[in-house]
Amino acid sequence: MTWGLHDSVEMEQQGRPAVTVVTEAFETAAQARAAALGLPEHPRVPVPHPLASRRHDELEKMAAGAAALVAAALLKR
Amino acid sequence: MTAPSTGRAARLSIDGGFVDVVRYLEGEGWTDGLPVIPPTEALVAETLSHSKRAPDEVLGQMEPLRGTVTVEKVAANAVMAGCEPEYFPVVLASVRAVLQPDFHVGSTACTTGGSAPVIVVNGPVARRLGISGGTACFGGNIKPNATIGRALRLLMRNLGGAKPDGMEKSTQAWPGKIVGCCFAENEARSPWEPLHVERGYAPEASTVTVLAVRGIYPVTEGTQTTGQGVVETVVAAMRYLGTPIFHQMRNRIPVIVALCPEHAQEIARAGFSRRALRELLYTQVRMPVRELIGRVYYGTRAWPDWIDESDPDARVPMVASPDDIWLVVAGGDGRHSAWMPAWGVCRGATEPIEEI
Repeated sequence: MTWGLHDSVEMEQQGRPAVTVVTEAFETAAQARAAALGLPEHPRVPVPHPLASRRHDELEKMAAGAAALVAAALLKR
Repeated sequence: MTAPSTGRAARLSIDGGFVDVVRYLEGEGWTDGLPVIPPTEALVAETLSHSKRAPDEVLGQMEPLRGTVTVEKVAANAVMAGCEPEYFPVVLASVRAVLQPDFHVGSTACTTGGSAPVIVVNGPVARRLGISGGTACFGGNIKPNATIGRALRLLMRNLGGAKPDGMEKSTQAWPGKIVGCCFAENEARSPWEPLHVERGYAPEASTVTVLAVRGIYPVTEGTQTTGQGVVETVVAAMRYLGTPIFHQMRNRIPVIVALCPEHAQEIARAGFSRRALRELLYTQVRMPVRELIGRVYYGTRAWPDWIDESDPDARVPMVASPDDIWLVVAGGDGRHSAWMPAWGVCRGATEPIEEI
């Protein structure tokens, strides 16, 4: 989670829209880390936990469900 | 949760007796759940007197929440952990080690993998301070071992934000998250040169070598009487399915192999130098591709190109090089050794202890 978030925040700080997809179990940590990196408003899209043990078709379904939220977060600015 | 503060440590006036003050500190989330010694200005000043560094010197930022690490804050956490003032140079060196970029302290603090720092102390300072490398040195309630490790952990917690309501995300962790695991190499009973000499320091120098590890994996060998037999058991024990280190080789992370004095002396008598033993472990501690495919951290494996995944019998080493096997001799009488795999991306670091 931390490096993914780190990369997204860095992209946003370079002026490119970015969003981080995190599982719900990491939402609090992601919020704290984004604040520590200087971007508390960095957009995050939470998805259900866990991720690692999902089958491929389940992952695709989750991704499809989150796609609109990711797009909205990216286009908001 | 509140973000760690920056700059000069705050001064607080707290009314009440000893227990009231400890309860206040607990209430603020500044302890690990065990009682602490309140860091009064007098105690912190006495601790600071054991370093030439200025109290307001900034040593770095403690990831993941980037609290500013000053010498004074290190001293305050050392007092809270129960350190004697003369332990301070060891605590400071340990903190400087985890602040090295290759240590990746933020990742070790908030991974689900439950890693905690091991501090190996080398050189004459260990005897001078009574840091044990003998009987029960990993967990024997020996004051310097327990409090130096705890000081580092409190600092990671209070300045890095590695707390269970925040960035600490270990699925289970291990008790090293409370007091770390600080011990001296048992140089007096080692048949070989000590770890810090191998890492480029003079024998009379004192150092800490710090590595965040997933846990302590014991190896008992109480039947074999030859060094060769002991080595075979160590090798077999380290071929272990369920540790991610076999999938993380390209991250160049090390493994500590802590041999008890009896095992080490038998292995040396069988003709192994440190170098030869590390070469042998590198060559022999391998798992076949067929056992690693589709398991543990296969999805995020970091294997070099020379590993032929199409060959189910191709053997994958635990680490990328013999240099990534850190041999130490530790413990008292008995026939129990251990290995401790680094976590994820932590390459560890060695720092000299600055005594005054």
